[in-house]
Amino acid sequence: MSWRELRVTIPSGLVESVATLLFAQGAAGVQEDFLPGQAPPPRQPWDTGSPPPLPRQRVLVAWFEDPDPALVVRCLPKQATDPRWTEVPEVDWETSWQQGFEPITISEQLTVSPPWCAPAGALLIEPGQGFGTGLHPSTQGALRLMEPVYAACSTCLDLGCGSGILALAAARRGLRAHGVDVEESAVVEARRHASLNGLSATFDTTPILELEDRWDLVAANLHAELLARLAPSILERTGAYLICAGILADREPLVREALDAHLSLEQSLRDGEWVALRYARRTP
Amino acid sequence: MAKKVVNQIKLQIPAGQARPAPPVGPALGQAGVNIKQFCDEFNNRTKEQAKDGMVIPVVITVFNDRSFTFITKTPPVAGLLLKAAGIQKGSGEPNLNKVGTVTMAQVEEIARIKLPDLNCTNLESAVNQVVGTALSSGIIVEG
Repeated sequence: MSWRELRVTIPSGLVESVATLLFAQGAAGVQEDFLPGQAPPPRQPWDTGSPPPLPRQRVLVAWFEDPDPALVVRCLPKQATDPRWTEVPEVDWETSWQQGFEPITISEQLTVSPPWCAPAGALLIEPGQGFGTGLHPSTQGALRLMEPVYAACSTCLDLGCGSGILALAAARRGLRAHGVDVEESAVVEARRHASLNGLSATFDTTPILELEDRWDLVAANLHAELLARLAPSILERTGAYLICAGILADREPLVREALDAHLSLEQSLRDGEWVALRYARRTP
Repeated sequence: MAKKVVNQIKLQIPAGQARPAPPVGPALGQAGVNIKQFCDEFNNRTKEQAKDGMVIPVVITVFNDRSFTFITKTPPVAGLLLKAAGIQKGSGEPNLNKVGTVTMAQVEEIARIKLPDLNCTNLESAVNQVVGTALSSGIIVEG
């Protein structure tokens, strides 16, 4: 089977109509892209204000099996410019995306790994729809700060659990662990990982504001703005220790301002631009 | 989780037909995300539209640990118009060659379907956009 890829530049207002034309010519699918150097920076969850204006031109990429290139190009409107065909190399797409993932050693007690390359005893996390594959410094920082306090805790709450990695790491050490996330797809992933690892941690979509009980260890790998905004609720749930991760270094003061007056900062870790903090309840 | 977005990929894929091949393979393979999981979830979410042979725009957001999430949007206006007109493709010369006809009621129905994804807040503006797409596709709007 021979796949060919067509790239063509068009005015942004013609994306839908040209894509429809390409499907009528047999395209299996279409991607909307930008000219090199014109892609706007991705909008982050903590960004506020209006996004920047988008470029006036787009690149449409369409994939065809055994096309008639001349016929396809003839059907394009005159505003479509610079059509280019390339062969698509044969690739095992089901497994090629797995490249670059490998076991990650967090501590002597914890290695996180995708299932296809896992050493014995690793915490299995399959990269997918739940954030927290173990690759990111914020996840690693949270896991490293949790490690020394497991022995002093019997319950753990993972706020914004994503893949469930933090709750599952705690469950492996014998804690009763529960994770919550606003995204249903993340909760599905977290439950799948619990099953994959044979752990009894539980997960659901309960909003943080509606949670009850206190938990010995609370892990919140959220961004700084969210941590600061939710600080009162997070503090209500925190029994002994609070781990805050996912903090960009230049935003650390936001979190410190919200928490330092209520808890004692025990340790902070910095990895690149990311900071993780461990707080403890002050002893009377 | 502290998700930092590193990439957003916009694709149009026939409902229920995502598979580990182009376009999903090359588009998501470059981003290093779980292609099989995306295909399974996309096909599950779009199985109803697959019965009508609809093309579904999808925006895949890739995070800095190669996890991802995605949202599906309503089918493109042009595709809905072709279906309503009962034709396979629009006109290459819309001013000269008219290739089909839709009624104003069909245009309004399409505008209602598309309203959540169009850059407008009322049905009248959405109808105008749909009429514009019809004209540029060589489709006559009756009524």
